[in-house]
Amino acid sequence: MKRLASATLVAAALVLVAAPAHAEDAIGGYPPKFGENAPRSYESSQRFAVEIKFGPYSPNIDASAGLNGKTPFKDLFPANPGKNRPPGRLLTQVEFDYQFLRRPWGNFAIGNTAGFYRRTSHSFAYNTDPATGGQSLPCTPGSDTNTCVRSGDTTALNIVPLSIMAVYRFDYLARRYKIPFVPYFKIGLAYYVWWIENGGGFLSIAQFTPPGATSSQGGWGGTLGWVMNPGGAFLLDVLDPSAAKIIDSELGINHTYLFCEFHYADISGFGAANKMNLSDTTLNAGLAFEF
Amino acid sequence: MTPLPPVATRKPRKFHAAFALHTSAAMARSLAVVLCVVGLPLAAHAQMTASSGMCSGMMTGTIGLAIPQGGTNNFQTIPSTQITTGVFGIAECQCAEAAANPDINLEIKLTTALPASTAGTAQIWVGDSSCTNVQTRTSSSNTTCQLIASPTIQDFTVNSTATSASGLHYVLKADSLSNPNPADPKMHSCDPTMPINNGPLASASNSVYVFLFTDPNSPLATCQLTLSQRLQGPDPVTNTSASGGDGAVTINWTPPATGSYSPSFFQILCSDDCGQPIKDSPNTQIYSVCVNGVISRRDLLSGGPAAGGGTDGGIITSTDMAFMSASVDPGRFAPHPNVAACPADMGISAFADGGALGPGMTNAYAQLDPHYACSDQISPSQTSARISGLVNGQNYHFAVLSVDAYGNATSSGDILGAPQPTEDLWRRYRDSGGGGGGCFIATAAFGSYENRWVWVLRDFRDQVLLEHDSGRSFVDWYYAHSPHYADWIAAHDWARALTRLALVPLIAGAWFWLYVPPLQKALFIALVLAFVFRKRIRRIVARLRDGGSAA
Repeated sequence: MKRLASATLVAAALVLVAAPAHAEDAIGGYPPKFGENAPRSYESSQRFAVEIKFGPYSPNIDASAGLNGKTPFKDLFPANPGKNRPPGRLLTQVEFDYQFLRRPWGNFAIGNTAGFYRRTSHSFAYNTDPATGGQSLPCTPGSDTNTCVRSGDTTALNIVPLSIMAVYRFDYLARRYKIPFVPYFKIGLAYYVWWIENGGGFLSIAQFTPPGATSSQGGWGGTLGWVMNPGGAFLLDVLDPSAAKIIDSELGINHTYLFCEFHYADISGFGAANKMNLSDTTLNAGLAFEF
Repeated sequence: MTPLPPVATRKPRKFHAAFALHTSAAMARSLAVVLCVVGLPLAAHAQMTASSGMCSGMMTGTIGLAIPQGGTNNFQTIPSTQITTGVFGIAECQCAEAAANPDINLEIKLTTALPASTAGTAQIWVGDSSCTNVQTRTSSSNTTCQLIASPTIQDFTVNSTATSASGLHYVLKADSLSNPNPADPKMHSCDPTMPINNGPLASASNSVYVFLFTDPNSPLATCQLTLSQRLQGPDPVTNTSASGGDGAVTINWTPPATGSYSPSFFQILCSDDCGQPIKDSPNTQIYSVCVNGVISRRDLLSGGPAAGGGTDGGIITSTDMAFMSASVDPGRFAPHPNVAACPADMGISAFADGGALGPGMTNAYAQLDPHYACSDQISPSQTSARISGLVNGQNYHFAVLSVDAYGNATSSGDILGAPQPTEDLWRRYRDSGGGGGGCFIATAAFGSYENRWVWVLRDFRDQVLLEHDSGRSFVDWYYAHSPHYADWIAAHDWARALTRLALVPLIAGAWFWLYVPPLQKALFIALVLAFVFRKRIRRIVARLRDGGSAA
């Protein structure tokens, strides 16, 4: 995860550094020399966009195939009263877009997203079965909540959502009429890598307990799915156009946005029978930079 | 919860260091203004007597430092600019192993470098305030002042953490404080049966003086430090609790309140219900404590255990800790007497009724025997620690020690906890019928995580790959990418067969790396290399032969 984040940052940094090199493709005149003000019509070239966004996320694990109504996620991460799913926790994502086609009526891009999500809760302690004299039984919430004793150990769910998306930004209004609002739409494939840690911070292995278990699988995997993000971005340039101009001429950042988007993620392996369901529908908000 | 006996009976007092700078009239002939700062929190660990089982006692003293030049009475002037922040000393007083052989460990460092040209020797004096008078301290009838060391001035390294005793670390006999006349040593004052009743300490009022002389008859500067010695560690933690985990217990506590005498770190002692340590003896002892009637003292420097004379007992600093050696003296602790016969089925509990010792049991754990240490140093800001490596279903006892910078330890009291198997999210998900977990490709190919060949690869992962950053990176990468392929392989018999075949060299290599002894390994590698490069070897041999015949 760290490497992924590092690679993303490095890529973003490289792009940021490289962006001024495209200045010869600038619109409305040549880039200003040192100490000069940029021409009024100057605008550096624009090829990329970077977004950092945050939002609550609560994977719909209990909808995974095979659970048949059982709710292991909700059992361990209690939901609020009247809710069927634990409350969301912070999901942080970074998106990098390559805007390969720009037209007056909008621009098209290919976007890559990577993020990180983690939440922890105390595990359940296995109970002693008086009938077998010390045999452990799993806690059975619902039927007898008194048996659900929390352990001193914590369990952690980690998810790294990865996606590749087609992005369309309708920036015609902003360009043509200076209306600082850019609606956009993203849709694409996603692959969510997940792993579960036990109390020792190690990868959980379900193999020895409960007795009779025949499988011995590690608590990690990945689930394929698709995502859709319709949203709208507020063009922050209008708040201080001169500053925006300076940022463009000196850093090559064309536009800065504050955005909010609807995040629909169907991460269920396209109906696969043995995949953990990590779907969710939520809202994301963040900052975007076009350069 | 039954409180353990404290290390000492005295209530912790605030360390109170007040020093006054005194200059004499003779200062006029000196250009130097010397400021001495002596931070001498003497941590006096009293000795436990067999009868009381408690540590108590008190130590006061006076330490004088003089810097003569040339002969005994010709003192030099040290430019004040060079030592404006003065000389500071950090000393620790501890009882030693035997009452007749107590030690005090003294460490002196400079905070500002002396000029390279500064020569001469310093003198460290033990005595009362009268020792400022050169006639008094050099008189043949002197019984209150004692010259205990004469290091060269250049030995006073700036902020050194040198392990050598030379110039920086001194081991004094405590009886030199209680009576400076070596011909008439007295028992150490830490011994409660031998209170301070003579020698300079009897009237020293907990004061320590440091004298710097430019005139042998008049000190240029005098630093006086009032000592409040600690016979007990910092305030203990409160609100302790233990919650069982899977083969582990998490201990929670509330650190001492802000403003109290706070610990420098915590450490945890663990005992099974039989009174035995649950882990191997620690290879470091980082606190001092009375055990079995003697003081067990932590040893910080690489000189090994400070049996008898000792090498150092200096203040614990992060730097010092790096010098800690494997230094719990095995001879210093009886190996948990009377508990060795505790049956394996735990039928007899040393801690019957949740804390009380069983009959005939000697509770070394309750005496804070360092052999029971089961954690490393724990940051004072931390409020919990997880002790792993325990057996589910068995009771264990824990004590959180608050340890100050001088190694004094205070116990939290006994904390009872029992590990038990847990059901984490993954287990619960699997138990509920969920799927999608990942497994190694080898597991998929061989059909079981417990397959012997899978074990080889798992051992290789744990013992080789996870030992190195690059290996860990590879494992992380593998964990991230292999599930998909493993699932696919597991679903196709022909793929499993092919994968097993492909894994043979990998497993063989891992087996070779893990289980073949080094000598055989080297021989095998040499043979393989010889075979691979046999043609080249032949050519070299032939060339050598031709060269030899030509010659």
